[in-house]
Amino acid sequence: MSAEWILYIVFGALALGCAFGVVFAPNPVHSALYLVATLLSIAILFLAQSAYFLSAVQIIVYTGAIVVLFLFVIMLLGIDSPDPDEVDRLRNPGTVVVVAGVVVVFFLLVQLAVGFSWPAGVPGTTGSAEAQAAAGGNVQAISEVLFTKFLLPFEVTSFLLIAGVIGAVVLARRGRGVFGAGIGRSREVVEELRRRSESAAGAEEAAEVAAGAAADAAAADADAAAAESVGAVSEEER
Amino acid sequence: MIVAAVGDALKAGPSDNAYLVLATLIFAIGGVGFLIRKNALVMFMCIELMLNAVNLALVAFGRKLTDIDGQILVFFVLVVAAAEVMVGLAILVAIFRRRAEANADDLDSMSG
Repeated sequence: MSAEWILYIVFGALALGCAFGVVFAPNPVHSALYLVATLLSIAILFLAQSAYFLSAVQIIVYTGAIVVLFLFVIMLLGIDSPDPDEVDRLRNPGTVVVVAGVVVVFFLLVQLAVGFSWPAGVPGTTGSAEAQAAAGGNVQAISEVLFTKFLLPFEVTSFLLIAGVIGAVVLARRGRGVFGAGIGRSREVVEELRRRSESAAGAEEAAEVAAGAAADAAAADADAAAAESVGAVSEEER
Repeated sequence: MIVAAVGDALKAGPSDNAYLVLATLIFAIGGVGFLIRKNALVMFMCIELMLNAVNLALVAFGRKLTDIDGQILVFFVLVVAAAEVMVGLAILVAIFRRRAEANADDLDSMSG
């Protein structure tokens, strides 16, 4: 068995399993970690296809920058616990979605197995092993084409990145703008969270009254104290 | 005869179709995940999965056609993915500042 088959089977299976993990892990942090494993497996598959430069770039850019950015935002926003509604939906996804997924996979695989034929035109020459070796390696072969044939798209890429940076700064910066002040939550959101916690406390109180367990005055005192403490917390947040 | 054919295939290494099948499956998993998840962050991760499946297919195409343009196209896809994540996460932070949650189902204030 050739080494490439072993790499393909081991890391292909790993990529598939971890892709399922990304979709079905209820906790966003776990999803991000499964995503790291998937991206690393795909980097190994790039290596198996002797795309050495892309393999390194995949690890540096994806797992080193993009997933870290994901984790950073998850931690910053504090949504690192599963949403009960979403857990429900993951246990019972809509039949339409499941059927659609199965049908799409089935037709794509049939297409690959039966109908797909490689184009009969003359194959290129820049990607052959000899051409890459003549250029001095995979990186040199890529750079020779990237900085000649694809020079204009390469330069346009820098405009795209600058536009992205400016957009991110405008959207997320602290200060008075259309998007409110600071990285923290706006006053309306804090109020809404407080209202929710109060209504939750009210529901607990109603249950207690129904059970006839606690004196009304004590419950009211506790409720007021809870409301005060919530208010103090939201003041601190602000 | 079948055994010999399988033996030859194993010696030759995975065909280019093998990588395309894998890419198809990862793409479909990402697409289904994008449809069934509510959490906007996980939806972004599913988009990343789909982009990576396409990258895998592009490298396989490039190797089959012995043309290095496939790998260069992957490079550009990477750049676009980085820019997209940058802006997308900034939008999420801005949304989360205005609202108590970032569930895609609840972000419907612009629907008619």
